[in-house]
Amino acid sequence: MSIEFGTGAGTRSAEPGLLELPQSSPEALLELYESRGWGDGLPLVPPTPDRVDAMLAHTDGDPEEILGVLPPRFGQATRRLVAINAVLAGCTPAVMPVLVTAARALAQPALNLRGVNATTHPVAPLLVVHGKVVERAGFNAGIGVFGPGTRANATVGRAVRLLLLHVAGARPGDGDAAQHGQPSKFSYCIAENLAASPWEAYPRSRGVDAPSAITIHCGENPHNVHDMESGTPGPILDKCATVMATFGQNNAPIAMGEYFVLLGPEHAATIAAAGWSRDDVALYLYQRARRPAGEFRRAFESRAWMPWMESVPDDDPLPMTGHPDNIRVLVTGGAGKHSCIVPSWGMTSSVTLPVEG
Amino acid sequence: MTTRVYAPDGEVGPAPVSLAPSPHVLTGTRIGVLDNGKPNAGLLLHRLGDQLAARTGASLAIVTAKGPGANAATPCTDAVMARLTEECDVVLTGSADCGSCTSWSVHDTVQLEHRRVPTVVATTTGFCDLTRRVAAGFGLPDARIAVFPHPLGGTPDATILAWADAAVDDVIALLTH
Repeated sequence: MSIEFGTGAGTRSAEPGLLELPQSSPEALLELYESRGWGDGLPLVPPTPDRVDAMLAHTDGDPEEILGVLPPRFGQATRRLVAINAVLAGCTPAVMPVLVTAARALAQPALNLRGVNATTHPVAPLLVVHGKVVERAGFNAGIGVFGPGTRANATVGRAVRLLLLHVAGARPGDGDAAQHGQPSKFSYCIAENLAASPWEAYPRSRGVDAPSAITIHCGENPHNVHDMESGTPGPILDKCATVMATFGQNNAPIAMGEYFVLLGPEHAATIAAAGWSRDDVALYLYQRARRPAGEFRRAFESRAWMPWMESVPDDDPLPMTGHPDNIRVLVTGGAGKHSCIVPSWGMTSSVTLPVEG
Repeated sequence: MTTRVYAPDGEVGPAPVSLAPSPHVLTGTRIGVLDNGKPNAGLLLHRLGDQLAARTGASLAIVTAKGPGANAATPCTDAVMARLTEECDVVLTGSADCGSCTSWSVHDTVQLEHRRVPTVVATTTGFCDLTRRVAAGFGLPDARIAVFPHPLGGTPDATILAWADAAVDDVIALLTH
C-alpha cells in the first residue's frame, strides 16, 4: 500500500449500513449512537432514508462519490455520508451544497487535516460562508454571527464536526488529542457580511470568483478586540495588533500560520473611510503585531520560522507571522464596536473553494 | 415502532501495513536518525544511535531533520524519506510526545516500514497509548515503539542521555528477531 497525500476524491464507495432503531424516540437514537461511540453528546435527528434522500435531492451527482478521504481514520466522505451527518445535525436541505464543498475543502492537503485533528492544541475548522448562498440558505452574517440562534450557522458548523467525528475519526482521546478542546469544536460557522463590507468579497481577493464560496481556516476560538474610542484606523488596528502579539498561540513559533481578522462593520467602515484597502490593513498589522526577536527565542526552543527571521537581532521587533499575506481580513457581525482575531493552529493553510451548483 | 437509521461513519481507505523484515543482528547495519525537532528529540535519538552502534558494531549513517519546510507537525520531505530508505537499514525517529507530532512521527514510521526499513518511534509515557492507537489507525498495530519517561522537553541533558542509555537493550530487541 501507499499512503497518498491527495484528497482521495473521485472513486466510489459502498453505501453505508442501516441500523434497526427499536423506538423512534430521541433518547433511543442517542443511546444507540452513544453505544457505538458516535455523536457529539447532544440530541440528534434520526437519519432515516427518507430524510437522507431529501437532503441528497439538494446535491447533484452520485451519492456514493467520494468527495475526499479524511484522516486520521481515512474515512471516505461521500455525498450520502455528508447528507446523513447533515440530518443528524438538524440541517435544512438548502445547506447541502455548502457541506459538500466543506467536505472537499477538509480533504485538501494544504489544510493538513491529519495534524488539525491529531494535535493537543484546541483547534477547530472555522467555516466561513460567502456569496449568494448566505441569504438563500439562511446564514446569519450580522448580529451574533458566531451564535447562538440561527439554524443554518449552528447546524452546518455542527455537521462539519459530526463529519470529523464520524468519518474522519476525530474522537477525543483517539483521533483527537486536544488537551482541553474548545467550545467551537461543537460548531464553528459564520458568514461574511458583504453588504456591510467596504471591500470586495473575500473569495475574490483570493482569486475565487464564484456566486458562492466557502473558506475553512483551522484556528482557535475568536479573541475579542473592543474599541469604541477611535475614529481613525491606527488605534483600532493597534488594539488588534496587541491581541495578535501574544505568546500563548501557535502563530508565535510557526511563521506560516495565518490570522483571520474579522472586523465588525463599524470598525471596517472607519478604516475604509480613511482610504485603507484590505491589503493596507494586513500590511499595517504585519508591521505592528511585533515583539522583540529575543523574546521569541527565549520563549520557544523549537521554531518553524522563515530562514530570514533567524537573522533578526534580539532587540529588533519581529512580526508575529512570516508574511503580510498570512493576515486575512474580512467583515462579519452586526452593529457595535467589536472585532475579533482567530489565530491559527499553525501548520495549516486556509482553503477557499467555490460552492458547487 | 422500529425505525431504520443510517450509520454515520462509512468506509475507510487504506489497507493494513506489515512490519519490515527485522535483521537477526544489527552488526554491520546502517542506522538513521530522523529528528522531528521536538525539544530534546535530537539529543535522545542521536545518543541512542551512538550507543546502538557502539554496542552492536552498526554505524550511525545519517542524522537528519525532516527536511526544508518540514517539522514535527508535517511529514518528512520526499527527499529525506528517499535518503533514509536508500542509505539506512534501520531508523530511529520521534519524538511522539504531543498530538500532531505523534500522528506525523507514526506516519513517517509507517512509511518507512512500508519501504522495508525497520523503524523505532520514540514516545513518552504520556503519549504511549495515543502512539499505539494512531499506529493501529494507520494499519500498523504492531509498530516498534520505545517508551521514555515524560516529558522530554525541559528535562536536563544528562537525564535525557541516561534515558537513552537505559533504552538500548529494548531498542535492539525491537529492531531484531
